[in-house]
Amino acid sequence: MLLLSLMGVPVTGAQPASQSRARDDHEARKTAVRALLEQARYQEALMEAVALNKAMPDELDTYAMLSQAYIQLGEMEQAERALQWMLDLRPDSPVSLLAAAEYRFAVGEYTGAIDFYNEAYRRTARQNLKRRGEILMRAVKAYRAAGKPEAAQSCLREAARLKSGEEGK
Amino acid sequence: MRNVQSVLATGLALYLAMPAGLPGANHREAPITALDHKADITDVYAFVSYSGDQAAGTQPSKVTFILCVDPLLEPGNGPHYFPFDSNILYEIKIDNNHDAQEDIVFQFQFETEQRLPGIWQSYAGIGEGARAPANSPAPVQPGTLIVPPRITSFQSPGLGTRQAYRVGILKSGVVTPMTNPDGSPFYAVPANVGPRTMDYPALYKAGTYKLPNGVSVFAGTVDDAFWIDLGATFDTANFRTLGSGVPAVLTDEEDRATRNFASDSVSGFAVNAIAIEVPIEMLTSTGRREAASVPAATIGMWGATSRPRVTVRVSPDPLISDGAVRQVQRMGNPLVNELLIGTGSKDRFSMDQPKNDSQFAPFLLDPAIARVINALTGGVVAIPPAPRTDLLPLVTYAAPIAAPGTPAGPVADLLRLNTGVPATPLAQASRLGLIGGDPAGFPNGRRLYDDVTDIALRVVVGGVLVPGFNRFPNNRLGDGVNVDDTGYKSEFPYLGDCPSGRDRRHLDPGEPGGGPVQ
Repeated sequence: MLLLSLMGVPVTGAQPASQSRARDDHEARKTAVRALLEQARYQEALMEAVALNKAMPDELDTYAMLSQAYIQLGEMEQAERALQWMLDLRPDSPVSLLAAAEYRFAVGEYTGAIDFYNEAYRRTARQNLKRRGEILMRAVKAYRAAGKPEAAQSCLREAARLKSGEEGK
Repeated sequence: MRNVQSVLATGLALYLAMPAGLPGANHREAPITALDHKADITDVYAFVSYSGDQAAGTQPSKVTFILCVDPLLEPGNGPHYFPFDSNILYEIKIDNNHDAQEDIVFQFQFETEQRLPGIWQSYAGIGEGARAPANSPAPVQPGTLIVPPRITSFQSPGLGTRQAYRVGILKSGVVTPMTNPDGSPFYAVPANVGPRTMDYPALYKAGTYKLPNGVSVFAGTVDDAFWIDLGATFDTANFRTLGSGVPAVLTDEEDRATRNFASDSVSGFAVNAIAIEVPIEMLTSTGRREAASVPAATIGMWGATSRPRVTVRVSPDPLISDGAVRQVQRMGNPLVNELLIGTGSKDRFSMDQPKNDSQFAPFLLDPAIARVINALTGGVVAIPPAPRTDLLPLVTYAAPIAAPGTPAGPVADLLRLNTGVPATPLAQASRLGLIGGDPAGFPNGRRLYDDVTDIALRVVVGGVLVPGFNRFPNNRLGDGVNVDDTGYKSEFPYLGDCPSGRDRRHLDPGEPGGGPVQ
């Protein structure tokens, strides 16, 4: 899913059955959850994400997965709880801020989403042109939804500039 | 959740109001506190108050709580030493109805005043002061006061950094402030810079406030009351080999001794401490002193540090913090987060509430440290099987701390204290607390001199509370550090003086008093 890609979490296609057997491999299990999310198998993803979160509750990625699954299942209160833990644990992390932005966007609070996108942008290393560009593209969507086409256009131009910088590397 | 929905958004709106391009700024048992020393709780203590001449069986009347933060402060580390963080809410929380939720909270918040902005260090003083000599170059006239007099009070001009603090009791949602009768502030005792600069004992005495309602308060930089061979403990339990020839196993003589056989890694270091002494009537759910046999006599306590969820830093303006707080850390029993909770869960443990601790029960009821020592000793130290229900008195209200009939409550890391158990006279007290036959010692609360390292090794690793395990070598496990390097006072706030910054000494392995290297 795009959200996870934005968070720097590599997303692969459907996982072979053999991977699901690697229950003791935390990273493999995370990959499996990402695949489930990508396949829109949210209930299964949620169950796995809950187990992962229980095993390692300090890890931000699993909160992001949890929140995404909850959002897709319409369990917004649970999504919010997972996100609040992310923000409490690592309030300055772009991973936390992006997840919060996605939540705000999902519930139609576009101004709040823009706030979080901007903050995630500020907290992402300047050298990471690709990630910054991706965040701006998400922000473009939020600006448009918020009825701010000029800001969206400005964001889009900046994203294009970053993309050209990325390609010129 | 209020914060995702509103508070944080408000805070971020503040961020977004800034011009683009401004740089965004912003003991260590958990990753989060390894990065936030000021909020790092090193130890909490709770015990029935006592005096140096305490008679056996004296009925308890007050309880002392101590919250220590900001670990391993090197006393000579000037020029600005170790003020409390005015951006942190320090709390001591009490559960008096056995549900692992706070019923009474003592809150402390600090304010810092810079009184000597023109000089390079926080504290300056000498004797009656030093004046410019006859050959003082212009424009400073001979006789002009250059160095202020030695600091002897909180009004001394040389006390450049002065911290006052507010104390409140939160009960039923209402905060009641506590103040001196004359309205004067409570001041925090600074670090002991050295004998030339300040009369630290005088400040310590002046900083001990006794209020008309029977409450006493203290805050300041003091000797770190904890002692442990920290280096050996966290070098994968690489304890020293002492008299028994087996690492981490003491001889009877070493066990009985009131001196150290290994290096106290905390020796010569200071810590910031907050202490409050409270009449028992203010703590129990009944509002009375209760006999030890009554369930209401037992309370649970923990300390917590919290920071505002939103902090805005824009150079050169002062930071702006506001709104709800997020807990950075909490602590009840000693060594739980350090030695029991897995690294992947430590931050969540630090930031969660004790009532939710059942999520960490696997760590508590099958401690990895026990299995590690079992393995490292090749099975010489046999350990009980999991689940370790013998450890339940540490995480529930249970005998022998709580009276029969006390609701166990949820699994929760609280320091539990039966306020009806009289303090043990110092001459009869055991550093091993309950397992040493001293009913007023850890884990029935925790006194400054309870050797929680050795107790934890014997109870958690050795399983001495399990029938068949209270035998050698399990009941002689220890790190070889039996006492603190400084010693304690025999009245509130009990904490030892901060070592002098000029003259402090750390006792390292291999040097006199530091025990062996091996």
